[in-house]
Parts: sequence; C-alpha cells; structure tokens
Amino acid sequence: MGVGDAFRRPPAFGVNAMYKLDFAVLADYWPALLAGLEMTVKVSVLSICLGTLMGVAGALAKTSRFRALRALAFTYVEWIRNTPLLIQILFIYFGLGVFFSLSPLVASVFALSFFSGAYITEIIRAGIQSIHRGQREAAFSLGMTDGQAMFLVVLPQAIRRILPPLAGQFITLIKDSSLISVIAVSDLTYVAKNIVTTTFRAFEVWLAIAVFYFVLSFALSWSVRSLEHRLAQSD
Amino acid sequence: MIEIQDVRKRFGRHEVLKGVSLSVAKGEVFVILGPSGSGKSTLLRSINGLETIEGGSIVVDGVRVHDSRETLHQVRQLTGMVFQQFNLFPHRTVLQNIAMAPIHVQKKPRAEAEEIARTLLGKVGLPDKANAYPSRLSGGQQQRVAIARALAMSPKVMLFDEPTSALDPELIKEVLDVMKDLAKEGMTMIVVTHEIGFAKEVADTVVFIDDGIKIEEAAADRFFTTPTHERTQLFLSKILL
Amino acid sequence: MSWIRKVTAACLMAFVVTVVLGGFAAQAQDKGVEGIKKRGKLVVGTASGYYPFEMVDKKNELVGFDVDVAKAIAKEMGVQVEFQNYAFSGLVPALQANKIDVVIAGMTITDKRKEVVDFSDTYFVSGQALLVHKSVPNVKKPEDLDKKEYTIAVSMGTTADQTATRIFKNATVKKFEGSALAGLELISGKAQAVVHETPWVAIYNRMNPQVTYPVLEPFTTENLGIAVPKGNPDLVAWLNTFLKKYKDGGDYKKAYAYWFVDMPWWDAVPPKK
Repeated sequence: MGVGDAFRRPPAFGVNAMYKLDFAVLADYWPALLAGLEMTVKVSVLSICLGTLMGVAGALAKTSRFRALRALAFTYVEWIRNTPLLIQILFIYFGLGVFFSLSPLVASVFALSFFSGAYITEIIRAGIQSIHRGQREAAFSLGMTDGQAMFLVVLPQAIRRILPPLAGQFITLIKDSSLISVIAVSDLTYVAKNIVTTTFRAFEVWLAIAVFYFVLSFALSWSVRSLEHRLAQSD
Repeated sequence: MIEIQDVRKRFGRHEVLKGVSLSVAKGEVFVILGPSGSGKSTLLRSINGLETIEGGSIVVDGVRVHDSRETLHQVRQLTGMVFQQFNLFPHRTVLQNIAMAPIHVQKKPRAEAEEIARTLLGKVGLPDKANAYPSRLSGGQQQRVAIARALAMSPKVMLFDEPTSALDPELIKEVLDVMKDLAKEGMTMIVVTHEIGFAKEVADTVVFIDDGIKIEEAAADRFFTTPTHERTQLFLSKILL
Repeated sequence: MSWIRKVTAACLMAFVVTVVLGGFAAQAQDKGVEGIKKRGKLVVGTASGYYPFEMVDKKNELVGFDVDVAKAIAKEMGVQVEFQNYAFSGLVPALQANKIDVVIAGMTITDKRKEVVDFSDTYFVSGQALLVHKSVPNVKKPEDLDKKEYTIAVSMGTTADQTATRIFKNATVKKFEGSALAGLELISGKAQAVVHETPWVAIYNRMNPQVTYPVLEPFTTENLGIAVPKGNPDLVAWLNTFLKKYKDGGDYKKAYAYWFVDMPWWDAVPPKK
C-alpha cells in the first residue's frame, strides 16, 4: 500500500482512467439511431400540432362567456400542470389501458398532446389578454361578433406576440418526448438505452443522443425565429 | 334619432351615471362637455353597448340598445365609433382596416368593399396610404383612417370619444377638419371633446355633464355666451382662455 | 455591473477549488476492501423487483435473498450496508462511475459484462423461463411464441433481454425499465409472454394466476455473480473466499429454503400490480 497505488486506483469522484473512448459504436448502430430519431420527430410533430389545437381550444374556453367552459379549462390546466409528465404517460398507457386498448404510440401522442395543450392554453390565454381592450372594442363597434373579433383581430395579434414562449414550449415537448421510452416506444432515447445496455458505451452514446436532441431543438427554435422576423415586417 | 332616458350606471360601488336623459335629432351635432370622471365617455359608450347600464334605456333609430344580443348587434351597425386611442388593427394595412367590417359584417364582396374603402380614404385626405400599415402613420393620419373605417359601415350616427385628446397639437386640425366636413354633410354626430373651438363652430347642441348628472343643456351659441348654471360657468371659466 | 462580475468570479473560484480539493481528497481514498472498511460502509447497488432476490415489503424495506447475502458480507467486513436502488440497466454504468461498491442484483455473469466489470464466483444458478398469457395456450418452449403477431416483454439490459432478442426472429421484443413494467404489459394483454428467470416467473405467476401460466423449464443457464468495478482484485478474492464459506455453511441453506421453498415472506410483500 504505497503512494503508487493512488495512481492505479481511480479517485472516488469519478475520473475513470480505464474507460477508453470508442465512438465507432455509433457507426455500428447508426441505422437504429436514425430510426429512433425519426420516431421522435414523428411523435413530436404530431403532439405539437394536436397540443396547439388543444391549447387554442383551451384558451378560448378560458376566456369565454360561459362559466362552465371556463371551469372545465381551468380544471384541465391545473391537473396537467400539477402532475408529472411521466405519471401522465404511465397513467394513460397502463392505467387507462385497463379499460381501452391503446397502442404505446397512440398513448404517447395523447399524453404529450394533453400535456403541452395545457401549457399552450396558458400561453395563448396570456397572449389574448395582453391585447389591448380597445382592439376588441373597435371590432365590436364595427358590428363584429365575438367570434369575428377573436379570429380576425385578437388572435392574429396574440399569436405573433406569443411566438417566443410558444417555441419554448415546442422545444420542451421535443425534450420531454424522451419519456415515452418507458412504455417501450422506439424513440431516440429507447434506442439509446438499448445500445448502452448492450455495449456499455454510456458516455459516447448519451453524448450522441444529447447532440441529436440539441440539433432538433435548435432547428425548431431557429425556424420560429425566422417566422417571427417575417411577421414583424408589418410593424 | 337617439333617445337616452334616465340612464344609470355604476362601476362596483361607484355610481357613474345617475339618471341622465337627452335626445339627439337626425343630422344634429351634439357635443358633450365635462371634467374627467364625469361619466361623459361612459355615457357615449353606452350608446353602442360597449358599456351596460343598470337603469333607464337608450334607443337608437327605434332599436333599444340593451335588450338583447341581437339588438346590440343591430345598433352597432347603425353607429360608428372613433376612439381616443384610434384602435386601428396593427396587423392589417390601412385599406384592409377599412374594408374589414364591410366584408365580414355586411358580407360585401372584397372588390366592392375595397372600392368603398378607397373612396373614403380619398375623402379623409389619405388616398396614397392604402397599403401602408398603421404604425407608419402619424397620429392625425391614423385617426382619419379610423374615421374612414367607421364610415365604411354607412352608419346613421357617428360617436366620437375625445378624438383629438391623444394627438399632438399640430395634428389636431386635420382631424377636426374631417369632422367638420362630416357635419356639413348632415351626419348625426355625438362628440365628447375638449375642443371648445370646434364645439363653438360646429355644434348644434352642447350638454355639460358633471359627476354623472346632466347639469346644463342648450343650443351651442346660447351655451357659450350665457350659461345659466353655476357649475357650467365655473367649468367654462377654467377651460376658456 | 462590476460587482456582479466579482461575485461570479468568486463563485467560479470556489467551485474550482472545491473540485480540485475534492479530487485530491478522493485520491487519498482507497478502493477495494480497505477502502470499504475505511469508509465504514458497503454501498450495494441493486434493482428491486426481481422476486425473490430483491423486493420491497409492506414496511417499504428492501428484503430478499440478495439482501441477505449483502448483509452477511457487510457483517463479515465489519461495516454498515447501504443499498442503492437502480433500474437494472443503470447498475453497470453506476459501477463504472464508481457510485457503488458492488452489484448484488441477480446479475448473470456474461462475457460482455466481464469486459467492463469483474465478477465474483457464482453464488446462484438459475435459468430463463417463460411467463405466458392465458390467451396463448399450450406453449412449451420459446419457439412456440416466435410468431409475428406476438410481443415478448422483457426488462431492459438483463440477460433475458439479450436472450429474447437473440432467439425471437419473428415476434417483437419490447424492453421496459424493470420487470414490473414488463409484467404489467403482460397482464394487460399487450404482450403475450415475459422472459425472465425461473424464480421470478414462479412468483409472479403466483401473484397473478388468473391471466398467466408459467413454463418453468429453464432454457438457458444463468450463473449469478456479484459485480465489482474493474481494478479491485483484492475485493474479488475476498468475496470468493466469503462465498465459499457462505455456501458451505448453514446460512445459505437456510436462506434458500426461506426465500425459494417455504416462502413465509409471501404475505409481507405486496404483490406488484
């Protein structure tokens, strides 16, 4: 037991000199990784679209004249925001799965759409309420109905204002979609876990996966930013 | 044309209108004066139902404003309103702003609506601004567009809620000129304003409202030369130079 | 503005100093038996849910055959035992990152695993078996399930996972984090069978007899061992000596009878739904 031993044994907080990097494992599993990426993109896009629809419906319900609609939307939003997404996914797939037969893919899209729908509801609602009251009054004074005032005057302006937080929510969705791997949907994270448990190349694989998600999120935020610029030309 | 009977309105516990009655005849230019907080804007906004009322009634061209959603909708097509803050739609061009209501509310075809819009733009003196966005216009120009937008619906009554109060002084005249032309053409107008010069020149009737009560109502020339009520005299002494 | 910069710089400095000092302190720490004895505790990584090796009883305590082995090892070393529960697939990475001292989790000794960790001698021999949904009757061997419309559920990263992936060419193999979720997939009828080791299959079937039936004849041989980070030959040697003593002694027979044969613990462990 001499000083020399300290160099042979790795220090406890984690620098492991015996782990040799081997990025070739990524090349071996490239097709599987691409398939996982495709699944993640598919699920994310579907959930973003459905979630946005739910968000618009929710925001309209929350700002509507009818108390029943407002209460319904409130319950929906609070329920989703105060439970973890993982629990929601497990509940929909395994819990509700006791009554209806849901495929993991359908359950995932449902769960992710419901989830993002609640947050998008709040974003759009805040956007609607940030539009100056005078806009609605001008619309009404011209004889427009509630619906016309909302869809012709208020919503178009609100959408432009909420593009940054909306983009943020979309990016969150892409990242949160990794949770569907627990119900064995073959998304990027599931494929990665599979590779890691087979090859034990935790560092290389997870680094690559992080890069994949980064590229996806960045691409999305970049396109939203250019959309913002295009719409800003009317300002 | 417009009958306002004993209208009462409260915001929370504060009673803003305490039983105001007046009537406006067709073609009349009716000016409402009063200090801030007097309820004059609230009164104006009750006419096209932007404010609800707790008591009394308002009838426009035979339609009771606050009866139902249908009557409200009807009245809003009979009246046009011009706001202190212009309230143009920033996401649409000037032309689209003016044509929007005729297209969606009156269901006119786009070409016809745009024709009307261009004519009105010419009338308010802005024929070359059709494709500009509101943010590119000065305050006075925006307000003139707002007037054109309200006129596009061919209203029978035009309501003006302090139309020049938010304008820089040098831009006020161009808006008042448009309003004067409108009055000359025989439009029924109800104007809440601080522009005494305009009132003296164009108004048929002037009413002074303070603290939710109609203090004095008189034909314009008599109002300004011999106001009878003490509060009216006090008010006029403060604002007339 | 400059005070923000100063605070940030101070924080960064503190962070760097802590990390470097921590590194030096850690370098002074030893691994192996000496290190464990010095720290006074044995950190055992396990994956609760593999009946009856490690599971959670109604008092929320970890119990099972592996738990008894771990406790005996700690007692012999004269240290406390601390259990850290991971998803099975996270155990080897945790060992590689030196977060735990050993893994005792019904882990099979495989060549692939031996590339990255070391194993003690075998302390238990088991084999893969099948738990089948009653909607698919008369299954006698895995080949009976190898049809395109069937789904086989497994726990990700286990030898069951690797075996199933290897032998099922037509059926779909779905991998879940932990045998509990795989079992759930089976109970709900979405999977037609689960591949797992015989003790687990027997017990899980006993918990859910209405929908499943077991095919207990093992079709592989699984040598279970204790996993240890590479570079600890003294720990491996110590464990092997201990295991020999343990297996020859009466404790092993007692534990085996308790956990696998008589099963008096049955009512104290809530069934996994």
